[in-house]
Amino acid sequence: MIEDNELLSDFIEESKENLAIAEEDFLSLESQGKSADPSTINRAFRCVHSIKGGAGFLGMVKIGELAHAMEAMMDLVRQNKLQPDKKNITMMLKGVDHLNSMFDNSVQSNDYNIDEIHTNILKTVAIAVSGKRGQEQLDKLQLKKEEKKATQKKTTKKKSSPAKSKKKTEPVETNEPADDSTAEDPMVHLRIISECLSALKKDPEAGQNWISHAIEGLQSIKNSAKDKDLNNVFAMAEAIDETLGEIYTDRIEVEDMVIVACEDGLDTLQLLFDDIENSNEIDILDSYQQMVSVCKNFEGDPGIIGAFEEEDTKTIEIKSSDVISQSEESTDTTVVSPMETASTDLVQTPQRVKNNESAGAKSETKSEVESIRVKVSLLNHLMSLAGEMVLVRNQQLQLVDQSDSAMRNNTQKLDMVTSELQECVMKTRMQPVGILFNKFNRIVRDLGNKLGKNINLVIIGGDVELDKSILESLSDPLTHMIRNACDHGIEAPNIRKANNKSENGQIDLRAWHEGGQVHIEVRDDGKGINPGYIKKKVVEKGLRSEQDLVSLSHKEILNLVLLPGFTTAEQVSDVSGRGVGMDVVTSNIEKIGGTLDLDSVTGKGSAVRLQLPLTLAIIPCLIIRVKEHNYAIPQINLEELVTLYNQDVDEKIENARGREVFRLRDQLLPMLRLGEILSKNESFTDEDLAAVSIKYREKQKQAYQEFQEKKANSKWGDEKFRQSLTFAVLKVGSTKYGLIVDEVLGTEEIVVKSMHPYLKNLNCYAGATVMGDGRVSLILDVLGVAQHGNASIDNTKEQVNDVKGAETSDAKQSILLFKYGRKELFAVSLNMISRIEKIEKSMIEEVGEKEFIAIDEVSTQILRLDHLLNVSEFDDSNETYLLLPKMANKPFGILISKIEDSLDCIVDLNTESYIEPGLLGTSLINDKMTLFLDTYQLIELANPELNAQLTGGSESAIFSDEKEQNLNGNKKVLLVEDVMFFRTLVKGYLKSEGYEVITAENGKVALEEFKRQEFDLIVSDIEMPVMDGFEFMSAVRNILNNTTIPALALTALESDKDIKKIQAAGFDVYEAKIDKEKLISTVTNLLNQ
Amino acid sequence: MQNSAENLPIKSETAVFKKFVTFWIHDELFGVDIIDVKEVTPLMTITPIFHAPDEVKGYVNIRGEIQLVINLRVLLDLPDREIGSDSRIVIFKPIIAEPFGILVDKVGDVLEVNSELIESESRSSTQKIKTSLVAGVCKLEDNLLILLNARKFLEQS
Repeated sequence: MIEDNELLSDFIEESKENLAIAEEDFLSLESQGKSADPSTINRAFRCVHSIKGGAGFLGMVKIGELAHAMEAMMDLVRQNKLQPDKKNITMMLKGVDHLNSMFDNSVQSNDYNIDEIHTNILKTVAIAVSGKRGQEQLDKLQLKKEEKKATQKKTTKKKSSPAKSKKKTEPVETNEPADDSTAEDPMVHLRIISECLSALKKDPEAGQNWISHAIEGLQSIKNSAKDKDLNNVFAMAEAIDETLGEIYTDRIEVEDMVIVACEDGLDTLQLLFDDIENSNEIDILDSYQQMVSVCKNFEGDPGIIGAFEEEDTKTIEIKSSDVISQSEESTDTTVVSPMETASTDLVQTPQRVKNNESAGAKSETKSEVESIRVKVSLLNHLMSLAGEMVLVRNQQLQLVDQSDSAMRNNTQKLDMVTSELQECVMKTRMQPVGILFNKFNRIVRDLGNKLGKNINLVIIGGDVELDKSILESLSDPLTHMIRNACDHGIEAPNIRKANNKSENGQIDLRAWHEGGQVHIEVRDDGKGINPGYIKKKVVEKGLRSEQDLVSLSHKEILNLVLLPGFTTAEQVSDVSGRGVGMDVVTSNIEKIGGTLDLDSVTGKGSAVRLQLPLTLAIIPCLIIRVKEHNYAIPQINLEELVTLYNQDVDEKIENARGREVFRLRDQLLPMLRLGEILSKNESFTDEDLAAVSIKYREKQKQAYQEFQEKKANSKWGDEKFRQSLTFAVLKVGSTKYGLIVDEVLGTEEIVVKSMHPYLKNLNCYAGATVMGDGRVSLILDVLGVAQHGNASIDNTKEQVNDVKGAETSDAKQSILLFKYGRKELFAVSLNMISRIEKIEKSMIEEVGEKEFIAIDEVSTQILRLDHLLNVSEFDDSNETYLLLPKMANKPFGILISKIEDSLDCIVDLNTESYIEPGLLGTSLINDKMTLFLDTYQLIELANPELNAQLTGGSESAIFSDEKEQNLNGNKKVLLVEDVMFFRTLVKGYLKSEGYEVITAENGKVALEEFKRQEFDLIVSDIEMPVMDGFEFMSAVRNILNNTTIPALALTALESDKDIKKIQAAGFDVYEAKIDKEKLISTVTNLLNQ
Repeated sequence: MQNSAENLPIKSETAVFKKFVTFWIHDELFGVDIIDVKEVTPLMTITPIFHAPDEVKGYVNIRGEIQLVINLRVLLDLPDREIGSDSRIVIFKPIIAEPFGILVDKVGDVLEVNSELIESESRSSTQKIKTSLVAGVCKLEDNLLILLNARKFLEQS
């Protein structure tokens, strides 16, 4: 073994790359089958070949042997004598594995056991070459080898009696019929060599092409000669080999003398083979010496020359044993000798270049890039220096004297150059994900075979680049995900067939850029994840109680898969299912700043999507301040910044379930206060959150009171109470929350330094950085902060409710409880109101019979419940609030006297015992009868003329029971909506227009209903449990083949993507669910079309 | 300086001398092996790390490197005090642990101590101090030098 570490590590690295290419090629050969692309075969051949060459040179005998065998096999494939079928490719892949593991432990590679694979490959080669006979011969060869070992032992034992030794050993070998096989094979080689020589004679340039073949032949002659102790054969072959090598590398000219010498040598070799039994006795000295003289750099084996020279004086016994030892030595020296070194090395290089040229036209991607190898440690150093540079730049930017234009200019340049430098350095570490992805071809293939499934892996976006370190840490998680997809996802072929799927499963491995991040998705078209099953397993394993699961959404249930200890595999296979799995994947992904998302449709497949940062080292961050400390928040996690002013601070930060929330558009956002989060070491419990909520409410009250006092004491006059509150809306995975900070300072590119290992238990920080002012700031871990602050209230998401599968669908409602008069308790769904405004009674103005008040400089009509409903009078003793409903076409406010509570509960609306216009119904909330308001009806009640306009002058539609039949009674509407509230509400709207309404609580029920009777219109919600609106609609359109029925989607989803999806599913239009007027007019339009 | 070279025990020919960086905390003189010490730096803005154990004072930036600063008072169970104008940070070499430093009230001199005079464990004077960190004590003329093993500072977690 050569002790040149640099060379060795270079070789190993290169070989590993070669192996990777070869592996890829083998796989594609397998898939191509008989129509294999010759360039692919050639490339694979070349890869193995270079390994063989290098290994021999570096003394890695076993690697060389195996590579040689593989090369021989590839050669047969090249000659079309061997088919790259599954069996052969499997063998080659095994070979690749063995080589890989030998390279992994290169120092001990020579102790590695390759016998089995080596023999198998040789057997295959032999069979392919000479049919069955080859097999027998090989078996004999094998046998002989063993015998030879035995005889060798004998020989050494009997060295003391030299007279016998020769005679004893020789017959054993020569009597072997197997020698025929060695003779037959060499004949082919000899012919090639002579062809080569004659080609060289004719045209030295063209002859070059032959040389590599000739050398290969000589190598194999040498190998077999060495095995059989045919010393003369070996010596001659080596001499010719050397000479040809010299020619090939242009170190000696192709002169007649050289060719003659070679031909002579070849003749001698032929002679030796003719009388192989006595070959060791034949005098080869003349031609050997001739060869040596021709080949300048080959000094020949002094042992052989010497042995022949002293032939006469020494006894035969001594000579032969001498040569044995000499030749053994010479094999060693062949390997180590610098000349051989150089020649092997050089032989390979031009060859590879040539091959590249020929293959270049077809596949330019891999070989033609000019590149240079650089140590990763050097790159890392460069990276950290660039990081420092960025810091210095940042500091400089702050120091710069803006009045000094020269300095300003220079600093600007520094700024630019630094940014570019940093970008470039970053790029040096970028690698295409294809490097990693292509690994999975093999894994999927092997797993497929093992599990008896046919799985195709489709790789898309392999050229998307990622930071090396991220790529490295992706390997394990991705492997796991792919394995999962193969094992749990894709079904067995017979099951697939039964389910009307193609027998071949497909896994898509996709990478793409989106929003400054790299997304990677593993999607399979397998059986998907069954939510019911997950629930069952989770309960079985005691990971969650049944009660915990009741209120979870579909997505949340899917995410249970990520819990530690979870597995769904019925049997623990050796592929997966040991319950150490997705949680490890998740934590690995989170460690590198990524997030993981699961999606699945039962029966159709599932997808795991990763979002990853491009790089870890330098990231853009939002810098915020809390008290006197600055913190950085990775911008990747930042959705938006919100600042509330004055009254909004009190009112917009609401209290839901004992914690602070903010209603951001249609989502309830849990609010965390960074100051509070940081000042408490333990994770927040619900009680803590409630305490925080109360604390700040009190604080605000106090501040307001102080202000009022001051105002009273001073002459501030009209001065308004001023305050503001800023928070960042942060998102990580499916968790989204608002983080209240004292101040937002701006954004900065920061260099991430990891946290000190002593502090690795702190979850709230992702690292630290040095800011422009030289101070250290901590980088917040958005997920860690969310966990610490207990921000997991995903289920407050409205409308996304999946309650215990199909049976019930009365999802929880966020409701506001309040009082108007002294007696009744009222409730209204938070969905239906936009906000609550505190008003001064003195500000109310009367216009005719109506009352108005200015809210946001808009005069708003006040509704008094006792005027519209049969309820008690307004209670004047308390403060006065105004409830502002959503989506009213004119500003209205419902007067209320006291806010009792806001809570989430399942509302069981009773519409029978007590009902009057303006009420949705009644329900028992905390054992008290509560009247649920229908804000729209109330508005209509208050303004009959409004409604008259809408319905084209007909009488008020509110008291509509009698009217139902006459106007639109012949039209039947199927209303699909999971939330009972909306169901009642929309049904009311439609009924008031005189339509006959049949309701269903989800797509599945609706589908059954749809099959049972005929409808004129479908009005469907999108987000529903069991079967959502998309699925339902496409089922109606595609499965039931009803393309004519108009369909309207009710939705809160408004992104372009969602809208497209809605249209794609087959809906004609979509409408927000609580905008009554638009809804009605759309419905009317649809039905009149 | 209360301590100076004169306080040193007299050198003898055979004795092995060890150098210690000394510093004052809570009016006690402590020393750490000079081999472990990288540098002593003046105080700079320390960024507190909330949620960290009590002994963690925070992070400082020393020429672009972020260093963890440990409050030795907490480790030694001494009462905490405000950072004063004499306060310094003793930074240790990365060989003994991931880079960190300790906050001290005031630095003293580098003292050379005859290793024969170092008592392995004191029964007498250091009751107040957590003994697990104490490598030994050495009686100087007017002071007791408590030798600390810096390698143990970060061991407890």
